[in-house]
Amino acid sequence: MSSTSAAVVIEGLTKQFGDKVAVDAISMTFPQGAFVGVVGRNGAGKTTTMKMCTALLPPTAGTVSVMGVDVWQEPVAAKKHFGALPETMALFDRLTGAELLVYNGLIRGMDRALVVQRSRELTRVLGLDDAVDRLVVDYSHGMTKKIALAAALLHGPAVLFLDEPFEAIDPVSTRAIEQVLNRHVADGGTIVFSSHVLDVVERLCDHVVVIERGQIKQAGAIDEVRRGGRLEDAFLALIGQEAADTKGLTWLGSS
Amino acid sequence: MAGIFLSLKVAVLKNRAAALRRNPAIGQSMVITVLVLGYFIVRYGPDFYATLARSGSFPDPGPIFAQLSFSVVFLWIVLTLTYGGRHDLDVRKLQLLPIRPAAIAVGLASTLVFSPGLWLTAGLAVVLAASFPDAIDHLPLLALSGVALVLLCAITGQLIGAGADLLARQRHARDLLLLLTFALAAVPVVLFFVMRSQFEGGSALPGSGVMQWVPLAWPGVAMAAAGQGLTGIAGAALAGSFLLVALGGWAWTGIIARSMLAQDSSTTRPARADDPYTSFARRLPANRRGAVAALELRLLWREPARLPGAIMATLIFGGIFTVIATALFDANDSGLAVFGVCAISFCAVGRRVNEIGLHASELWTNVVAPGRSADDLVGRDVASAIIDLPVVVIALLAIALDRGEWSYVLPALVLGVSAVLATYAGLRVFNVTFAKAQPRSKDTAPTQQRQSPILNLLAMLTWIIATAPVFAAAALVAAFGAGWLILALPAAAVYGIGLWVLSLRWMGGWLDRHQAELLVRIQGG
Repeated sequence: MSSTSAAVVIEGLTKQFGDKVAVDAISMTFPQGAFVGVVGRNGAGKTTTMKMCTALLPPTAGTVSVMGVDVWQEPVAAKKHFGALPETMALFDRLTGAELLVYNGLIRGMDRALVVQRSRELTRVLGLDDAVDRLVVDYSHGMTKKIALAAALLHGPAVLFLDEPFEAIDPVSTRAIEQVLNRHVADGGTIVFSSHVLDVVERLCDHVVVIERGQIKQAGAIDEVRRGGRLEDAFLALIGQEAADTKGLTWLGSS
Repeated sequence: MAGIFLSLKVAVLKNRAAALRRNPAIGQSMVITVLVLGYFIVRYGPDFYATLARSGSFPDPGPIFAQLSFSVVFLWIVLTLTYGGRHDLDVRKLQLLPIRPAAIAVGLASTLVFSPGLWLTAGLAVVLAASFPDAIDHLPLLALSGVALVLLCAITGQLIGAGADLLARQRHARDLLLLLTFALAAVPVVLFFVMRSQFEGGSALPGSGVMQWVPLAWPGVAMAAAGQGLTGIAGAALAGSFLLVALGGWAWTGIIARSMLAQDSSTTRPARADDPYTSFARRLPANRRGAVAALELRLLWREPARLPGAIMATLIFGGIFTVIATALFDANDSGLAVFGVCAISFCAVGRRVNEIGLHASELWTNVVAPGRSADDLVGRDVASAIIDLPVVVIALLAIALDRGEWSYVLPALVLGVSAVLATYAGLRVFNVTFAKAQPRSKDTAPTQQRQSPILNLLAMLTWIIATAPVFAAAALVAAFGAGWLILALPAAAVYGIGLWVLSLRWMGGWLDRHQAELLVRIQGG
């Protein structure tokens, strides 16, 4: 997966927590306009990788650059090029949804009128029209995720990093978000998102990265990875997961 | 950036004010705070002002001003630690935005114009500067000293708040910080009494001049020197003060940069085969009661910031009541000392208020498991007794050792344990009746979620009512002599045990039928 017009370049990215190597010297390049799904089981290193790509968690070794800007050498400049939806969202929850987007844009140095206009468009598409005047602290988990996504999209970033964007999102909202993301990619943007839901990855992505125990098992165009079959089967084969041994659970349903 | 942050702060304050109207608990806290503060201001404000207004007329004001400056800055440290850092404008909320830590520091600093503490400090600086007989002649240096004091307070508060928030991401660091805060809180209290004695005496205490070398005192040193026309000393102290402010700003910016990074989860614990708690828990009864007791004690350790709070409450209240009980011997009557021993049962109140509401998930586990609700209630009391009974015994022994009297120990123990049982009985009814949804503290929260003051007040009233007959039994002995022990002791014991059993049956029976209903209530559903 390489391109001369790379949106994201990761080289030798490593993260160690004490003795545990969470991410082990991974290298990959995502071209502009790519829709990349990062998949792996729980604890595989997806979220850690996402955090290192978005200047949230300093890597032990390696580099990440977004649109040619080194994320850890020039974090402020890099953040202008990407938007992110992290796993845990720290938001100004004592603001209304509308206020949150406005201040997000203003701190990014955007013009207020432009921020207001984009906020209206994003909240309409994401189905948050009726909630924009409520405090974010009163939002459901799904609504919070959608307003955080709107905040990540507000400045029209070239690259989006999304960690489990469809978790706890209802089917209607999922469809809306998918449309927004597809539009982002169609306009030349790049999306890197992690998910456990392989059906969604299969439906949306043109590239996929399979991570297992902090290492890349396989990366490439989705058709190359699934080899004509289902992504889930290819994924399970790649990580060598066998069926769970339930022989010892004979007591289930016994009382 | 300052304008955006100011506007952001105004928006947050407006939303908080709107929420205040909808949240009676916060409203109650505000009303009680205003009433208490209002009383102190009306009662002591004029005298306090008059005292400060003559600070400059001391023969040698240097040491006094140094102490005042140190006390004020130290108060900012303690209050910041006590009331936590920035929650609304937590820098972690800016993690994903392209903004430099220095710009964030400038923005956050600008929001200090909304800080009542800053305006109070500025007012104090004005009063102190104006207290010199010829203040008008030295106005520029006095004004600069006042500005230095205000800036040093502000930057110290920010530095401590940001540093504490960062440290609080680590469980044990946070708990130690909380204990340290309690210890540090004693410093301004001691300084207050020291200052008062100096103002009453009209001169600084011998040796207090050493305070002038403490950096936090330099704005005061500068002000005292400026007021006396000692320009050189004032200039040096001002330079030192502004250097401190600059260093503080630099350190604060560094902490902001660090705070904007994600942390490892502090809940991750290494597996330990020799966990001492596990071996302790195995000694508890091997039934539902023992299991609930073990769980309660484990949650006391795990709930963020709860254990240090319980330790300090026990030390403070247990200590106070023990000292009172010892002092009551001066009335030459050991019967009175028993009051203190009985009062130690109050330690359980602070720790157990709304214990069902606090641990909604635990109740859920109990609801879906078969068994008698009464066993859960007994389990909670077993856990509590493991803490409270040793405290009563230790207090008794401390008093006995101090006074060299042992004859009253056994009767006092009976009365003390009766008071503890009556407290448990009252708290049980209170905790089931007034169980209230209480969101659990986030693991990274620097302090525990606080209870509503009304709830605390009701809990105290419950304790007073439940234990009143035990106190009455103790009073009977104190008033009419040791001969009445023969009646008072069995009466108190029967009352304590009887009330405990009665409330267990009552609440246990009610919960058997309504436990799910209670669960819905405390989950806010």
